[in-house]
Amino acid sequence: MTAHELAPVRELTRAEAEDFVYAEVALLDEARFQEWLDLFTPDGVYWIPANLPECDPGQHVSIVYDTRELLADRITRLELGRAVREVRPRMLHLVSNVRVVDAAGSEGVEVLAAMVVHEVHGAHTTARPARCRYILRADPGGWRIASKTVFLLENDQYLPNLTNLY
Amino acid sequence: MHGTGPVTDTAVRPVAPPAHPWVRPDRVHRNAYLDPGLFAEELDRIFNRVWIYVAHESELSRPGDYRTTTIGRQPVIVTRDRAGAIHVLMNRCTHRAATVCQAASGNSATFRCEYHGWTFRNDGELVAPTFSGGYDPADFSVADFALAQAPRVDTYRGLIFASLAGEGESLREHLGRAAEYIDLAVDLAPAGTIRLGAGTHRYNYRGNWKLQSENGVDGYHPNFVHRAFFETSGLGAGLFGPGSNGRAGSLGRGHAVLDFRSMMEPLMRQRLATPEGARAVDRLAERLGDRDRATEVFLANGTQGYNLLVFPNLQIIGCQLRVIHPRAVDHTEVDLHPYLHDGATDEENAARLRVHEAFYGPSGGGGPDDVEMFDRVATGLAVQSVEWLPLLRGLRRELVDGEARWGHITDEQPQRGFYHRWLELMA
Repeated sequence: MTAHELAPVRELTRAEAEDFVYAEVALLDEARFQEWLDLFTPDGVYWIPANLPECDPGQHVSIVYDTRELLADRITRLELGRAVREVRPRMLHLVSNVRVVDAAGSEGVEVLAAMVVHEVHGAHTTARPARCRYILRADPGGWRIASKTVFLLENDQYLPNLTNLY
Repeated sequence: MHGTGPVTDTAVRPVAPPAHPWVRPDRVHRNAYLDPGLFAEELDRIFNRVWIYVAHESELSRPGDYRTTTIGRQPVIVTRDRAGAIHVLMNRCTHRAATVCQAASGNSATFRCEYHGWTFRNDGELVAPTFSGGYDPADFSVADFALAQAPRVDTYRGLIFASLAGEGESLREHLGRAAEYIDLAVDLAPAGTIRLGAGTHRYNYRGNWKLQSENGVDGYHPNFVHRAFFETSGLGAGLFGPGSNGRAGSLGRGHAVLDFRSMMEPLMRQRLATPEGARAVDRLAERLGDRDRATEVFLANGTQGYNLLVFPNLQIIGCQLRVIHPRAVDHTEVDLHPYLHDGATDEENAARLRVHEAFYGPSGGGGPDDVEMFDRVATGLAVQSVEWLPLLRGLRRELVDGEARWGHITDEQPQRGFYHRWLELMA
């Protein structure tokens, strides 16, 4: 019996993790939000902490702390195109430094990545640096996101609107 | 308190406010948002004079606790000294003017300027200049070089305010009828006190500070700017429409309220009818000693039932204390401090944070749309041939109620009240 068969979740190689994250952020850059939402597990969480590198969202406000249901609402607003700010974004995620830090954790596979998100708002282009942490779980259809946490390096600063998905 | 309240007259304001070339009782000139000279005057005549919110007592619960903020553009440190007294120290070394405290908050008995090493106690006193042998007593006395501090500091229901003017009206006089709405919010907490400490949302925009002060009590815009949120949140489009039974008022002294309790009342009555609702009112009645008041407090649902503007730059809205910092005539920074209820469960307080995040902050479902509008206003104000921004809505249907004036929820009464006080201070 191999370790692979014993593991609660399938192991993930770095190359597979990179492929997954590249494809995932491409869905955001291409505004394919429903397909992106479908990557999340039913109990999935999309989290952007505020003020601190990490904190307990039960005790501390977050920039975003979306369950799958809230995330679906957010995407509905984006797609309605009726929220005045949320016009179709022009953005580009650059992902690097991908590491599989826990290939067979009980919650899922933990993947870290570094990211720079470039966005164009009118005449302004911003480059926003962030560290990302994914917890991924295998299901028959492929890998699913149990959580995606985006640690913006500037999350204790005065920020402009952050209404896109990161 | 619900509905239109005591109405004495529909007459226009009895006392004509002083005149200013750029602000009239029913309109504002574009220069009021654009002129750097006027901005400097606002800092001097408004922010250096009236009571300004600086911190909440829960942030300074132990001796030595401090937090930094600004009054207008002036950096200050709000401290609690060894004896428990609160000080609002100017964050400016009395030697070469460097700030002596860089952190947002912390605990320290002293502040050491990193430039030449001068150290100050948290009551402002200078311990000693470094290498003190170089100072001759003929020129130099330690007592003359304490950190400057706000001459007046006072609190109301845990909110700490400072005034940089040595004399003037008391905090209680300044708050006037705004105090009723602070009470209504704070009384809702099971322990009768609120606390900060759950972090801060911070955002900025390239526009004048008054745009945010006006917007927080503007009931005309939600129907348009926030329609996507109302549609997706289940609150329904049209909540802030011509048929709404909410009201907007100026409370006197520049304070204003957007009171939509009556619009939320059917929902709150449903909650009141649940066992949890009944228990909550029982607990409130026990503490407040008055069941009618307890029911009123419950139905108000704190600042989820109304938006309060405390002139000039504090708003209590949703689950947040919002502080508007003027940075330049066209640059504003805003802090949203979600407040928690003392005595509530962690789950209840976490739910408040989620409610806050749903609408507010840089990624909220509503707040960013307001910021987008400030950007568009800033761009539109470049048009020179159209000079005035009217505040005419509901001008002829103001209801007079003592110092207060009430209008329909979509009326511009809050903004007229804000500028009435602005004129008293600026003209």
